[in-house]
Amino acid sequence: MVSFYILAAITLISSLMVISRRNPMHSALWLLVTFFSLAGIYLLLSAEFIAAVQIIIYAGGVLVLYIFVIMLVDLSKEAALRAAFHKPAQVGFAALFAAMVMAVVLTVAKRGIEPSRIQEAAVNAPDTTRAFAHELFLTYLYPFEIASILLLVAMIGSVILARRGVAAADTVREKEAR
Amino acid sequence: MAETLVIIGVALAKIVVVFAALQVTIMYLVLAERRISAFIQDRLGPNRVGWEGLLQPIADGLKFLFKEDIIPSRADKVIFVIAPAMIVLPALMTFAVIPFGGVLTFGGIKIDLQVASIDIGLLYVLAMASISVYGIIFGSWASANKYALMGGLRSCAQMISYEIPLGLSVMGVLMMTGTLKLEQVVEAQSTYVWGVIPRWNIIFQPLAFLLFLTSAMAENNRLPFDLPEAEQELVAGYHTEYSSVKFAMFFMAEYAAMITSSALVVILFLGGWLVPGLEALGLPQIVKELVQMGAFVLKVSFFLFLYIWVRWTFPRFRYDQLMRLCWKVLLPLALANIFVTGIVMAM
Repeated sequence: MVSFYILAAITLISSLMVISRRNPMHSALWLLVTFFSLAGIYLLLSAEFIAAVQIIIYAGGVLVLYIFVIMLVDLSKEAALRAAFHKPAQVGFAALFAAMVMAVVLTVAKRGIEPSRIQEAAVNAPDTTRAFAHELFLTYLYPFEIASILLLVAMIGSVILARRGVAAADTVREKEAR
Repeated sequence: MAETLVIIGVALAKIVVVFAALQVTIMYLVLAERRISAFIQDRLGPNRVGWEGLLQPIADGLKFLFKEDIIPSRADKVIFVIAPAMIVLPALMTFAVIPFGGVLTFGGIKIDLQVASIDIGLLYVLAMASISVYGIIFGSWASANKYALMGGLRSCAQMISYEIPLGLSVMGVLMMTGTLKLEQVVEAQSTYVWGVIPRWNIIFQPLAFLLFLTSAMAENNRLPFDLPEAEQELVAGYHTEYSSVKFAMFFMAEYAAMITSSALVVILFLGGWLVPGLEALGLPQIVKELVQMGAFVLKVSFFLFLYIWVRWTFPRFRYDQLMRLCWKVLLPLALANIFVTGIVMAM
């Protein structure tokens, strides 16, 4: 119980630091701390697999890509970017999105998650990784597959958006060459 | 009570012994690298300090300690100082789950020859490999140096790319043994095919072995994959601005990572500490364990030698070649390997 409170405090403080730091690299470093303390909380729940995946995917993959973007973006244009993100429509959308996320969080917090089924599977399997795989690939196979298709769609969409910019730049260059 | 004390004492002793052994190995691995590279290039190498240069690592260590520690004036000081620790830590922590022998019975106390046996051993190793990139990224960014930043960006892209074939090549072994515990992976290789050939994973997963070895070399930024610190273009890459002990820590991390990945190759594909036909000799248990530990050290040494041999034999890849090799060659091969393994196992 003590370790939970320590980890929870670290998670909350480091998340606050993530959104309050001026320098994006410092935010990234604090986000790394958040990911580790979250992994620690998963370990306390004896979900070793989730803890390892948390580190491999979020700390080792997602955050590295964030940092990659931070290093490539020209931060001296921050003021211009700030103006671009303060249009009323964008602020409204952000508020709506935040309200939706909060609604989901509050609903789940109020109703509570039912861990009984997962616990049953965990008792029957020799280790939690096996229990997790069993649930993921047998009980929740269709939601899992749909989620992966969703990710594929997002990936193809972003590639097309990126290519469109490249193609436009190419035509401009060709015109200039003429 | 006494039992708990014994358990804690054994655990502490194992941590100290493994840590010390790792440090000494790193020191002498650097010397080995310098001597072998000299041999390959028809030079002598450092052979003056002590007999055949055996005291050279101590001289080097002292030199690092007494060098001036320079922090660039425009550097981000806090991150600049913690970055070397961020790279050494995962490299050393990985070794905590590496089993280097079976069970040693010593005066009624059973000692597993492994610091920590955890259920998700293999995933833990992959997790540590995936966070080892942060020391390089933050160190290079905090240096406020363009060469360092370029090196950091390159390593960023390289390490997350090669992590994928690294993880996928292990999948075939995982499917065959059905466990993430590294010591169980080794024990699964202790039987024989037709009673003669040891059932090592390299026989059933030769492609995965090559993929793992290649990706591990890229993951450790060793030549021919050392683009993050390509001297001709980037001075010294991500550690350009580092000096004194901080530089030594970057250096240590590279060699520690080499030792860990060599140990992993041996555990996953070459039967770990197992020696074929050793049971038939009927040796006393303690002698058998010692022979097995020796075998493990020998196998790991071979791969360390291979690392050095490759470094001083092949030229460096160009950046686009590096990315093409990862995404268009290694990744499809790793997926095909999983597919074929799955079909064969289902039959």
